[in-house]
Amino acid sequence: MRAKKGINQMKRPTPANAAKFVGALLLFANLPLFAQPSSAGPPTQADTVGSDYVIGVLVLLLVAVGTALVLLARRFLAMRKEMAANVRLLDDFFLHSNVAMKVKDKDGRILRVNDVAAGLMGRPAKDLLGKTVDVVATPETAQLIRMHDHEVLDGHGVTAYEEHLNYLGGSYSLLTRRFPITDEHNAIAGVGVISMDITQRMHTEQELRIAKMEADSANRAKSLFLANMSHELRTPLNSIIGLSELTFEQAEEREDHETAEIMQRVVNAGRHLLSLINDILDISRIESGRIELHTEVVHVQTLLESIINSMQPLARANGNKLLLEAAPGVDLACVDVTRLRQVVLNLIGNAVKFTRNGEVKVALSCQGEHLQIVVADTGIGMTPDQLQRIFEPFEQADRSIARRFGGSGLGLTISRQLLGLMGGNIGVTSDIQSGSVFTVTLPVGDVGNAQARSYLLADDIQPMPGRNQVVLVVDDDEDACELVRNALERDGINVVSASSGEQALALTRSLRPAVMVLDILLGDMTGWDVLAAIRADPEHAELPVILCTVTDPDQRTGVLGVVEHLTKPFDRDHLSHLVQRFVGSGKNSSLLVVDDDDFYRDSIANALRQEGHQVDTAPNGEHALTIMRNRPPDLLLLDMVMPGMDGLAVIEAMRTDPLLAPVPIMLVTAADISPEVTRNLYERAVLLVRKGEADHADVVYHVHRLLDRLRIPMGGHEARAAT
Amino acid sequence: MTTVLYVEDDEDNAFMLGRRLQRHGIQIRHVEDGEKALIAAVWKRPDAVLLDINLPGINGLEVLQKLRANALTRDVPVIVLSAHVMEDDILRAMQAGANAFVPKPIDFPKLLDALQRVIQHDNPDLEDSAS
Repeated sequence: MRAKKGINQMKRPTPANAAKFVGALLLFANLPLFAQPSSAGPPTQADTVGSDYVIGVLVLLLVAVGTALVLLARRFLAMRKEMAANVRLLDDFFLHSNVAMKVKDKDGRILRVNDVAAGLMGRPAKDLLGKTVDVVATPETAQLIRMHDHEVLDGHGVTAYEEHLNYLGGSYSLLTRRFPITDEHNAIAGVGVISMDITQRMHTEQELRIAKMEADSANRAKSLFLANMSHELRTPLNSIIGLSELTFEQAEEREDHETAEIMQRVVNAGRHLLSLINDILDISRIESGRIELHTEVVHVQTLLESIINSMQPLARANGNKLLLEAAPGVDLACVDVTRLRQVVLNLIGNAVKFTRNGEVKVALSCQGEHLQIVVADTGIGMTPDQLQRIFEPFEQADRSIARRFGGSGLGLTISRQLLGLMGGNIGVTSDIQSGSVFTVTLPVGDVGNAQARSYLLADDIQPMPGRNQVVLVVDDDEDACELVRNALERDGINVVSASSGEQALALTRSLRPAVMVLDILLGDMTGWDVLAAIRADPEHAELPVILCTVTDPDQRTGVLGVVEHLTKPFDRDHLSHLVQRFVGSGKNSSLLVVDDDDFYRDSIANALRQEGHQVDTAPNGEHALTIMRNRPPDLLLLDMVMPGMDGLAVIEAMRTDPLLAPVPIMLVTAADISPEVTRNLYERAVLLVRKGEADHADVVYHVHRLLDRLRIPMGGHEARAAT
Repeated sequence: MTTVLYVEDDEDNAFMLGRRLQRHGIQIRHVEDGEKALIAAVWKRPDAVLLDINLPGINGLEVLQKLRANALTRDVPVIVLSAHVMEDDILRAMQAGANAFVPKPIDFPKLLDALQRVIQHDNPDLEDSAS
């Protein structure tokens, strides 16, 4: 209770102060009394005539003063009462608050503490007054509290912390706010502390975090299980289907029709099992959100035509006509082709399966921003009851249908889920005996101003095998193209130019150039887009690209496998030199032939010289190393068995020499090499050519193939590292 | 004769595909792990490699990366055969440098097509012996 008095003393006016106040008021009230005689009439008359008057005035004054005093006293009492009420109110707040509150002096002694705070510290409030937290807290906690208190005492204003404290009463997580308490001179006299116990909240949060982690890991485990299950089922199924097919083929050849029929049934059952595995996998992936859509801009009608063409044999097998009706005005759409194909295949598949000697019509139209694909058949149809369950898993209209018509019974479930993912939907109407109509609605998507047709056309061009000795220059500035053409044609290199990104991609696919010189600023798309599209196409992922920019290269060049970089305006000789690395027949390479057999060495060297190469020779390992250190060759032809330093020793010496480590080696040997040695040589990109088995022409052929291969860079900088 | 190196640890699968390809005039060299595959590929360059992904020791993707990092085998066509058929699996195989991906269970005519395509593509002058 001492602390309570302390606070009261700070706030209440003392009696001494009140007395001064009243005295001052009296002084003020008396002023007219002393002033009166000076303003009254002549003094002589006043003594005789004015005595009654003076008494009257005095009485009046006394009454006035008395009234003023009573009023003042009342006012004072009211103020006192109000202040007392305020203090009680504050006390009540302090006592009954559900947050912990304390007031401490400069030395950390507790002046006031409420029950909540005392409860946390594990002692009754009265036992804590005048003490520091050291008596109720572990040394670490006390230290932390002192540190935080001192921040406030040192004038850092109001602070807030999340504190984890260990008291006698237990361990708590507190959200604590501290503020300075000032005395009448506005100096900091202590610290006020308000703490909210968030232990429970922290506990709950942690529980939630753990629950989420567990759920995530369960989800991952489920995905992993799914992937493994799929793998484990497929592996034996591969043998079952493959061996049944093999037996079927053999039985057919023997004209053993009975066995052939049995095996055909095994094959069909195996395929049915496979389709079930695929469908279950699909559903699980959709449900666990593991399916990603890959949308691209396509010509929808062309897509549907290709699907329908692939379904014609199945339709004809049941005597059905399968037709496409495309409304005018349906052009491009941005869709996931694989998934849309899956849905449409499923619908047409069902339609031709449940229709005999009838018609299946696929209608394509555009309804505003939506694409509509309607698949209508003249088949067996469904009852309203069947219609209701048609999208549920394993709900073919009738159990017997699975046996009669095959299918997993999951196709429509998957179709509906896929369409949901794509932002579309599917509906159905049907009459028993007169057929069913499935309607798919799908947003057209953002087709932009893409000229998707040129993609389709580029795909139609049959790629020519191998790479042609052509340089493809991509720049929307014709003058720039001409400049490159001049620089390169001077050296007898064929140049083809493309003025847009679309054209560049189409020409890359149809021409298969040896190297592309790509400007980064194009009209329709950026050079980065062109690069990304090329790298995404496995056919051209390794096409060497020389990038031209007016700016400095950024880090994307590394990611997208740019082999060289040219800054505009570029030097003609530099460009020509770069391009030469990727174009040309590999003639004029410098080679070194090392063999202790004089006849063999010289004849090989001559054969290679006739091909236009610069050839040095060396009779032994030491000599070879001397020549190479002087001038590293493009390729080393090395005999394995030599007196003195043998082939392996030369390779070992080269490995440790930074100048020679990158030189590719072709090992020419008559000796048998053990697999262990081969394994050691493997990382060095050594080509083995067996002497005796290979004649000179073979060696020359191998040299050229190797030179060609070495010229194709693998992922940019790795080219040298790999050799 | 076209020679294909088949890397497969499942014996039944190896037996089945070996028999079937032989009927189409394709010689199979079968090895059951990645280490042997790398040695075999260097020792006698095959016309193509059929590569399983789940292998004991170094897995198929690593084998593929090593084949692609070596100048000798950099351009040997590789068809990945795998029962791991998730999109990620296929993408990883293509990124590692596979020429084609054929999922297991194998659609045999498709595998033959893929084989003919990659072999002709790699070696236009080579007379195709697959029928």
